[in-house]
Amino acid sequence: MDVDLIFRIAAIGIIVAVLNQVLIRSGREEQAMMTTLAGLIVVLLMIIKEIKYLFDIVKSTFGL
Amino acid sequence: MNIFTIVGFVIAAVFLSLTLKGYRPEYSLFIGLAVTIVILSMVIPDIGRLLNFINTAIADNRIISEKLGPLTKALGIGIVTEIAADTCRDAGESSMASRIELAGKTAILIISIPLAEEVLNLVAGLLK
Repeated sequence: MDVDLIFRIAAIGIIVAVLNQVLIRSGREEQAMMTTLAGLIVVLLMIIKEIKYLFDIVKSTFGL
Repeated sequence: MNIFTIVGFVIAAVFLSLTLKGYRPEYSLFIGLAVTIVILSMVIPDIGRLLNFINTAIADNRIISEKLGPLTKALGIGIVTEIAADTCRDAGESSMASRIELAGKTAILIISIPLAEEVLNLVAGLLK
């Protein structure tokens, strides 16, 4: 299992936070909100795949 | 599974999560979930090896090895339920966490119905 999943998520979070600050400072609140939402969706899609993988190994290990 | 790897990257993840919590609190939740997934995908194969060892060690005793199935299933349900409940609790939704725990407890009880029936039959047989 790749540990860099955590670092990828953290990097996306930092980028989104910086973009958010820049966009809010330049007076574009709507686009800042959209950026936040897009980052959230990207991370959710990454996480959902891994959750499915986790559930698969739990199911196969414990015979559920 | 290497315990030093796990400790190292969990400490790194904690610092990342702490840094992000000030700006975007939802990402620290994602980092927690990612840490959970990475650690469990390292640990669960080892748990499987332990279960295999137990299964082979008691393979000649049919009575015990038949009873072990619900036990391992309950372990799996407990792990999955705890992941979800802890994530809810980290997000500050302790009532949802309690509901998930209720669902997990119900699922484990449903799985252990055959064992309970056997115990009741045994007691009834002794009382006769």
